[in-house]
Amino acid sequence: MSEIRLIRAINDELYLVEVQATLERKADSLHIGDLKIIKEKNSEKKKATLTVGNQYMEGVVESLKKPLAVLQKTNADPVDVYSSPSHELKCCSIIRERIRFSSRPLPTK
Amino acid sequence: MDSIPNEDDLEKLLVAEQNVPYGKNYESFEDEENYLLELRNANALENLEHRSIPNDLFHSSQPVGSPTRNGDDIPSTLDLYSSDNAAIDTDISEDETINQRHAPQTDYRYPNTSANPKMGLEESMDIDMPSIDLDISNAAAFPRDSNLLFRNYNSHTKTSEKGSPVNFEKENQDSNVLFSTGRTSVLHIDAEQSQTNNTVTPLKDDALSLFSFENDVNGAVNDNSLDQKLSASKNSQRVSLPFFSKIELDEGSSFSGPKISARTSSGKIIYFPKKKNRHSDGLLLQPKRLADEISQVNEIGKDFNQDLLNSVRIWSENFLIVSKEKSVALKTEKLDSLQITNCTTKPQSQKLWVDTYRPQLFRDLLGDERVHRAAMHWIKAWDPCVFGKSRLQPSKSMRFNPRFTNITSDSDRPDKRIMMLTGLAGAGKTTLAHVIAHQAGYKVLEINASDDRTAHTVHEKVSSAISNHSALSSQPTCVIVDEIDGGDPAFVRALLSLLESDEKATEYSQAGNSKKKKKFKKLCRPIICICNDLYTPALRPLRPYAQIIYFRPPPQASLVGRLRTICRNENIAVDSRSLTLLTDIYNSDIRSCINSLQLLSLNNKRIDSETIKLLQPKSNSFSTSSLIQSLFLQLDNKQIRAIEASQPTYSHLDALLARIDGANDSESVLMNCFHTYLDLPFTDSLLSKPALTSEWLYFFDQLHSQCYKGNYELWRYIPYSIIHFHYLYATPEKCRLPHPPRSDLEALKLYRTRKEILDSFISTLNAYENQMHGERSILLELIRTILITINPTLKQKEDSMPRSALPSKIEHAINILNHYNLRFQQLPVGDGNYVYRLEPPLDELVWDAPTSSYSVRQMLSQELLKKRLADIKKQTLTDNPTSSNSSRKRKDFNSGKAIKRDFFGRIISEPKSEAVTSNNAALNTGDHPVSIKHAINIKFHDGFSNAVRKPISLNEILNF
Repeated sequence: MSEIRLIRAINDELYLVEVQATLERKADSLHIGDLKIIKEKNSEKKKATLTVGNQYMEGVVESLKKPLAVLQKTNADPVDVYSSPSHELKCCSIIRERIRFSSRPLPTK
Repeated sequence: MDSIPNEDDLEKLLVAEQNVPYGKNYESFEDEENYLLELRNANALENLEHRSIPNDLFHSSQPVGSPTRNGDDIPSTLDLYSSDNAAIDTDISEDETINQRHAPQTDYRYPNTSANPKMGLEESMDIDMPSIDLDISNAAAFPRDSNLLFRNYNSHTKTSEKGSPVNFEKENQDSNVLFSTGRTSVLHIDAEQSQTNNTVTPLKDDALSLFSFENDVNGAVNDNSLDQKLSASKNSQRVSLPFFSKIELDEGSSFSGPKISARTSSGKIIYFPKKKNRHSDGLLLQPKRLADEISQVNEIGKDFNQDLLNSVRIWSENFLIVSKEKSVALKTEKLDSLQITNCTTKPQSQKLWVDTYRPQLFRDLLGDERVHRAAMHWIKAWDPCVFGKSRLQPSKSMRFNPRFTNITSDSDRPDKRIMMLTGLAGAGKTTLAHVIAHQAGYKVLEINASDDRTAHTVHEKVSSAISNHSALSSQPTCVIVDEIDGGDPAFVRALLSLLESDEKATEYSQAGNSKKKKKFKKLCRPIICICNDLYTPALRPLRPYAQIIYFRPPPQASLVGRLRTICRNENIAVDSRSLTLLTDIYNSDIRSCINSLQLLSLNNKRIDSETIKLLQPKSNSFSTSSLIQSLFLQLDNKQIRAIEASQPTYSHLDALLARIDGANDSESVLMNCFHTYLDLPFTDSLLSKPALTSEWLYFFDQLHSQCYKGNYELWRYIPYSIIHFHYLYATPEKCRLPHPPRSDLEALKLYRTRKEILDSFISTLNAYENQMHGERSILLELIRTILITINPTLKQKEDSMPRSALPSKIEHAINILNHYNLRFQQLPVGDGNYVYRLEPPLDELVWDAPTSSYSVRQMLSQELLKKRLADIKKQTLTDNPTSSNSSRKRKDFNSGKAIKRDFFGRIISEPKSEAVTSNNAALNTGDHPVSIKHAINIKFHDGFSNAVRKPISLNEILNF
């Protein structure tokens, strides 16, 4: 089963990263790996590479058909006992592109 | 029939077209024009009108601006001659001025036109003066001794030659002399022109332009006279009349080839140039005779055209009438009263005669009338339900007939809700169904085998058609299901469900249960099913609901009578003997008879028994099963006679042989015979017949193998090896075919699967054993012994013994299983039961393979698994110390790390640990801890994700 995680990316833009793999964490570390987005010279397409440990994946940047919103929910305290609890949804960012890593990881040198 | 243009007429037309100098083909317009110009240059100006050249063709050669074409400038020639002389005088003077106006141009271009006028004079001497009297029209146009005309032409001559510097006067003189002899001034000019033509002809390229110019001159000079003549001849109601009084072969002239000059009755000379010898082939031979011929040809051409037009008109009218009559006749079904049509195959060949002559009314049906009546009564029995009570009256009378009381006993519908017509092909089942449905006032919805006949169709189409009134027509619908036995069984099932629901509906309606009645639809419209074979298994459930009507082919006499009627209508000459023969050949299949009649009529209108004998029976009778039926069927004398009558050189055995030869797969025929013949009731205590058969079969085998070796010429003898079955075993009764299995095919399949099993087993053997035994001995010796060993028979006591103390038999079996890589696989057999199957299934290779009980096999498989695990364990334990990288592992052991092993006992982390060590070596200099670098690992998932996208509502998000 593939996992989808959100990570903070360049230009304060959020990318949806899809990896057809499981990222197995062995130690408590927030650092996963290095994600590079390479813009090709001639075309609009963007490529991405993900280097995790000594493994390395190549992916494609695609624009989503429906952009996704990243929502942050905050529970505001109820004003009084009788009123129902209110929620706040804050749109942090909008994801317009995703990076899809569907190929098999390759070993780095 | 004379009025119809047939091919002969067309040929005649073609010949005529070729002979008529100016046909209607405007394609060769250029040629035509050139020819025309030449003709004119060869002094044949007047001749043009005789050749019926279209006026526009003539004029097109003239420049548009030519004054002669201007009708205002030129007086009407008709007026000229019909009016009095004074008027003509003025006209001439006008004419003169016009010509003078344009003449200089002529002369400027042609200084040499004034060639020897003597020639024209000489020629004009030949004029046969008395012949003038012959042509009345021309005589009318040219009053004989009219000075006016004389002067007229004279002036023309003058003007045309005015510009010529040389001997103008002389020519004029000559002209005058000429004119005194007769009215042939035109000729004079023409002679000159012929002269110019002579000078010009060698320069072919220039010729055209010169000619065109000359045309101008000619036009200026002669158009008047031409028009005169044209109009004059119109006046006298004569079109395109070539009158040749005399034709001479004029070889003495300066023309390059032999040239024919002809003189008209009015004294004009016509030259036939050699070029364009459309009509000069024969002309050179017999001038006098040919002249007549030409005129004849022209006459014929004209007459023929007229005839053709007439005949086409008559023919088309006839056709119209006939077709109208035909449709009427077909409606009223008075086939005999049909007017014998003109034998034009064209309109009739577009429709099949089978359709054309399909009976439309009940009384036109062929065959047993009782059958027809029974069918009609059945459909009439629907009347109360379909048409209401008003239509009950006619059917009431039939209720008194005890034969049909059962049909209409219960209610307003017949007991049997559907009707099934069954009979041979071409007996007229479909026709009967249509006819009675029409007769009873139904609209027919036919569902054919070629139509979409899924169960869905029935529910959509049929049920709606049956239960409801159509909005489009007032007629109720009757469904005719053709070839119900040939189609999808699902269709029959759907029909059946329809009938069952109807049955329940009537049940509840009789019981007065209105609530349930709504659930089931009542069948309110008749359904007629048509099948060839009533006893098809698919039809069995339908039979109890069906009023079955058996069809027999119509009696031969009436069939022949109908065929004769058709032949008469189609204008085919055929005697009834050959028609009888035809019905014999097709076994009274009227459809095939009519079809083959139509086919034969395409070639010729006379059909005799010889052509019919060339016909072959319908090809679908060549199916293997029917062939075998007839192989084992002893024909009675009548049938043999019928066959032998059709082909006198044949015996019925020859016919059978031909059929066997025609069967596409003689091998399957033989196999079928082989499966059938022993079941047949033959008396042969000494078994000599089967012995003979075996001889024949051997012969067949030999032939067959020879054929496969490439000696195909022997193929034609194969039928003889099959026909002996007929000799030996034919019985008067029809044999029941046991639906023999395609044993050869099945055997082949079985062989393949078993070969596959054996191969897979042998591939697991090690090379030594494989070489030792060989495939054959493995199959015959090894496998059986293996099976015996691995299926030990245990006593009840042993079966329940504790696992630790296994008897040696079991242990041995396990060893064997292990050795040959066999295993028992648990397979479900339904009902929650399982069975252990040997994998690979060697027991299929052995006849009467030994088996063992489920519990034994279960125990064996479990023990086998245990043993294999133990073996693996043992292998890894023994393998490790001897492996090549044992030193490192030992080191790893020393470092205290536990070695991970996978299922096969190999060390998993070996490459990793290597990487670790290398990384350690590399990173020892750097600060990064190794653990962080390798904290995260990507574990790739092959294939595709099973993830399902699920919409989430905002509410869910809020309450998350």
